[in-house]
Amino acid sequence: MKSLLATLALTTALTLPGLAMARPVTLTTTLNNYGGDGAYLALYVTDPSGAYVGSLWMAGGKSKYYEHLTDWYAATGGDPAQINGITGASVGAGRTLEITLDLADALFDAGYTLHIDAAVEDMRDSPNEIAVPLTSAGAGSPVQGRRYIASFVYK
Amino acid sequence: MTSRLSLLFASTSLTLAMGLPALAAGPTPVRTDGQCGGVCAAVFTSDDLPLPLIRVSGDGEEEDDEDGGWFRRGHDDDDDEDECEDDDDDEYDACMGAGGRGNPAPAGTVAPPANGLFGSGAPPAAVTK
Repeated sequence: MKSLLATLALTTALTLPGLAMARPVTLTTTLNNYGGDGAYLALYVTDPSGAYVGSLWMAGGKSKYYEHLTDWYAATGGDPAQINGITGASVGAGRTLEITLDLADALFDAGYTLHIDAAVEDMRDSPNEIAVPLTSAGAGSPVQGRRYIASFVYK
Repeated sequence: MTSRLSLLFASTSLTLAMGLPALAAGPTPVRTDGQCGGVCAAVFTSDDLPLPLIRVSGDGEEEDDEDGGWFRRGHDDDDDEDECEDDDDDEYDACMGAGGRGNPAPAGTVAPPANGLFGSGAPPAAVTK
């Protein structure tokens, strides 16, 4: 009985920090009415030195177009393993993409930056369309993109 | 019974005797100059003009090849060199990417990559409005 309780306490102690180290975060991206086809978007994170850490989401499922997400492609070589399980459909002009992710707490207030590269068929590529520091204070503050993204906000 | 069979035999013989020479006397149904004569003319034309040729498929007039398309998602024509069909219903097929790789696994089919960014809570989800 004693050993059972000890095991239970140990597993609880090991599990609780894990649960506390991540939080659900909603990333909302609204596109302009740019008058083209659906946009491919790559959402990824860089560390304080600017080095690629990993991807958060890929909007657009065909890897043959990923080279147009130029910064993301330069960092990853277009490796599909970077975005397995976090890939969805491309986003139409004027539409809003709302992504909910369980993100590590360590990403916030630690110098990490969230980037979005965008590309649209027969239109100009737009690398680093959004670059926003991941901070607790910045949550809920909309950021405007350069070409295709009307606003981006995380909270 | 015998008379009925005789009558049938006689009418068949008469038909063959009159019909076969008529068919044999006619030219080939379509001549090389496109004209139609003999039985063919009787059956297929109401005047002396040949029927227009109907092309089932062909090259030329209506080629839809003007997309210039290095980035024409969803509008690939059959001349597409990578043989990758672009119907949106098949968004996650086995098409090869620019680097000769397959498409990534869509969200919900496999776990997110272990890149240290994700917790172990709810799986990634997305909606488009």
